[in-house]
Amino acid sequence: MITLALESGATATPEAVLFWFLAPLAVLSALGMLLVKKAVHSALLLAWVMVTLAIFYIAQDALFLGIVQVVVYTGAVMMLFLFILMLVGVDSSDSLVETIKGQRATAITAAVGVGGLLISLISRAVQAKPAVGLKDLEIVGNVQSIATELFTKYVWAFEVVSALLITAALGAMVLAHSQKPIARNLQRDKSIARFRGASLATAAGLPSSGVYSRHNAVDVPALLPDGTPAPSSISATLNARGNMIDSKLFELELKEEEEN
Amino acid sequence: MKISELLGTDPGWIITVKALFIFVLCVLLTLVAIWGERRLVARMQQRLGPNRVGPFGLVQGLADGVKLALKEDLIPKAADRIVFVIAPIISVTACFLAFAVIPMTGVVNLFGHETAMQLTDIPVGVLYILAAASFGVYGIVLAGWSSGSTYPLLGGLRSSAQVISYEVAMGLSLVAVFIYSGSMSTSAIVEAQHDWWFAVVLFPSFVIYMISMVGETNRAPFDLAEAEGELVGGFHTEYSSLKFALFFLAEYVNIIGVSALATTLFLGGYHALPGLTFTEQWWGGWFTMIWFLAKVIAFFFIFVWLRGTLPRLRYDQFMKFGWKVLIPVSLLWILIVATLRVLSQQNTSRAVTLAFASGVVVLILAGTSLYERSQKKSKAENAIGDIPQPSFPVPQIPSQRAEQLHG
Amino acid sequence: MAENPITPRYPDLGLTAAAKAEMKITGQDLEAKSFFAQLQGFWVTFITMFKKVTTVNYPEVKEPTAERFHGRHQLNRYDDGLEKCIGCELCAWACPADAIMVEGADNTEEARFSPGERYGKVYQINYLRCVFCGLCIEACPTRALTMTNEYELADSTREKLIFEKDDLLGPMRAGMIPAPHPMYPGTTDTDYYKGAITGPHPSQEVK
Repeated sequence: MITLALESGATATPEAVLFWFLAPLAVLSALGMLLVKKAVHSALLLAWVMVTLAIFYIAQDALFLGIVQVVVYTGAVMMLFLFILMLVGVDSSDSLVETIKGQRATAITAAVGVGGLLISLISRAVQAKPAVGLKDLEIVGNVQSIATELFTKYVWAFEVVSALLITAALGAMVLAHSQKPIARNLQRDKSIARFRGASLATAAGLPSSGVYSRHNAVDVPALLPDGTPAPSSISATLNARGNMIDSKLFELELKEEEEN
Repeated sequence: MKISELLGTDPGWIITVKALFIFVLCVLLTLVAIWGERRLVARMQQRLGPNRVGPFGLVQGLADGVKLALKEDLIPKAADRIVFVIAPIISVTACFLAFAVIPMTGVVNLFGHETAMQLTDIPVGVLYILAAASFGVYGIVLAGWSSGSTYPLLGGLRSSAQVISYEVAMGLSLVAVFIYSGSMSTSAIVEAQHDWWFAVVLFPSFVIYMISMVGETNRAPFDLAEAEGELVGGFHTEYSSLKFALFFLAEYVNIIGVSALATTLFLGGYHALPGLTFTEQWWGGWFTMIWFLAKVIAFFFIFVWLRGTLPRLRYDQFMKFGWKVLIPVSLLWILIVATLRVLSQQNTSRAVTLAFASGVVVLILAGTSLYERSQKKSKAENAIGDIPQPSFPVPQIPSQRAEQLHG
Repeated sequence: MAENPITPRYPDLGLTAAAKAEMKITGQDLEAKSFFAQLQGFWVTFITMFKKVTTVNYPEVKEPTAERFHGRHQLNRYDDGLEKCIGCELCAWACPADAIMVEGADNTEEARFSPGERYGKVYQINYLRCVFCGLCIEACPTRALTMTNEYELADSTREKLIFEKDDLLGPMRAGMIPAPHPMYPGTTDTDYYKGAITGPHPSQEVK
């Protein structure tokens, strides 16, 4: 592939436009991630920051890294975050009272300490070294060079990490597995039970809800021939919630004159 | 110059033209696909499809689009408004992104500039398409959640779980292609298929890819998540008007996208059928676009054929299939391909290669026959035994009666 | 009976050899899970694409209805123009969907609509309720109510689908004098019922 790259350190206009458009957006998204009210919005803004980072990696010739960032981080890790947030949910009404003593002070100190450490380390590592573009290194291509490093120099670390991942996956499966003490009632068992029960009265299913010309819903009981509501058509859940409606509301009123 | 180098010399306006061309092509192909699917499925059911709007119903897709745009736009009260609107946009964007690296023609002359009809070519092109697909899952899962109601949430979760599972199988089936062509860039893969298409050489990968592409796009027979009878509409239940139209568009562009990827990776992209390679020079190289479109449409026909023929699989059935059958088979096949590739690269003798291949075949046959035997044994154990003679008179079992009558 | 052979794939249905041979030809004898059985389904859909389509292109092609098709109702007339309907309301009582409303009224000598004492003054059929069962036709004693073969009754408002007497009366044929007018001189309603009247009499013209 021809790299029409400029000298290291110079930026072509398209790349500058890309940077100056996306970078403020990424910073705003990151800030938004901290400040928005809903957890899902926060997760989405984080996903957007990751996509922006991936775009920057690609713009700087680290193609494989950028795309793997999208596939793994945005596509898998953030998806997992999102699933948890959506299903379990984090409400802003959750209590913010801190239960650990002196948590705030320790947290701030630790954050400042770690931040300082990182800044000093990175600046020391980067200071005296000139920036080296990709074309100055003799590499064949992104994938090939990563593969070479991974399978020659770092193969031991690679194998250990893969063993760790496999252990984690197996551990998750083992922890999530639950052996039910009673066998699950499958459809065939239910069908057999229906016909071998005490009586065949309910073999064809329970009576359905009340049907009137003006109402047809689960919350009105069906009527027996003598006008009383049928007990088996009253839904226990709705009754407990107090949602069952009296069938008298929908019965026809016999007018006095018609009887005469 | 290789095509990837050629593409590097494109001026900005050519890139814009190509991007616009891809967009217009996708939308037009969607309209054609909507019409084609309805007509084809109808013919498979011995009836005509839409034939009222325009000659042979050709304008039906456009009419549907306009109708959807003019419908009332409802946002449920319990919905999260921002995410509700963003979700279809994510879906649609992700599926158009996949077309950026698909080679549609060979070297052609575009407005005086020598280029190929491929927006860009990165060395990890196919991986980029997988990234776009995995980004598209966000649209589904967010649509399901933001609707604020149970059916869409369940449908969205099911859909996204299905898409992710079949994405894994899809990625694994592509690994064999990478090993064989030595590159992940789409143009290099197409160029490597000059002699033999990968659908022939890597047939198991092709089959696995076809199955997983149907699973990934949520199409029949894997469409439980959006089946009308089961979950109302799945993740797009609460969507109406233009946002629903966007999901519709996203689904069809996804179908065309995976078909285009299958064409590129397994059917030789824009190359003509072996024997007709002289046609690649017609129209200054533009005739290759016809070959490309013909192959994409052939895949689309297979999608429609599957929809018209197969009953829907149950959710647990196809998840089991994806994880327990497709992925192990893909992994096994990758091992075989890798070994064969190493053997051929190290120029080992024919005999060794043949011995390896036949050893693999023998092992597979042995494995399948052992499996079948264990299945038979378990079936025999669970078989219902002979019915004992009851102590009171009963009518004869039909087989016994038939024996009596016919001897 | 002592041993237990392996369960047959299909239950033994007592098929004759000929039936089994036929199943083999059509491919129905293939075990459900066999590879070729599954592919056979694809062949069926593929080959159906080339079969003749069963669709009827409706507005351009209208297939004729059966002879005794249950279509729109029609109130018939006698050959001199008097209506057959006597307003007895039997059709309304027979209707299971409660779609017919009839109000009878007395025939006077000045205004006579049907032979005999009474006629149907108000006659409405609500086609939103009508199920086209034909029980009203069976109930009508004078064969006033019959069903035509017309089925294109779709309309846009509910009011328009309640057909009044004018919408339901049969057409005036040549020679008929429109009601109200006196009966054929010297006849009774029984003569009319027995079909003795074949045309109008000049004295029936109302000036």
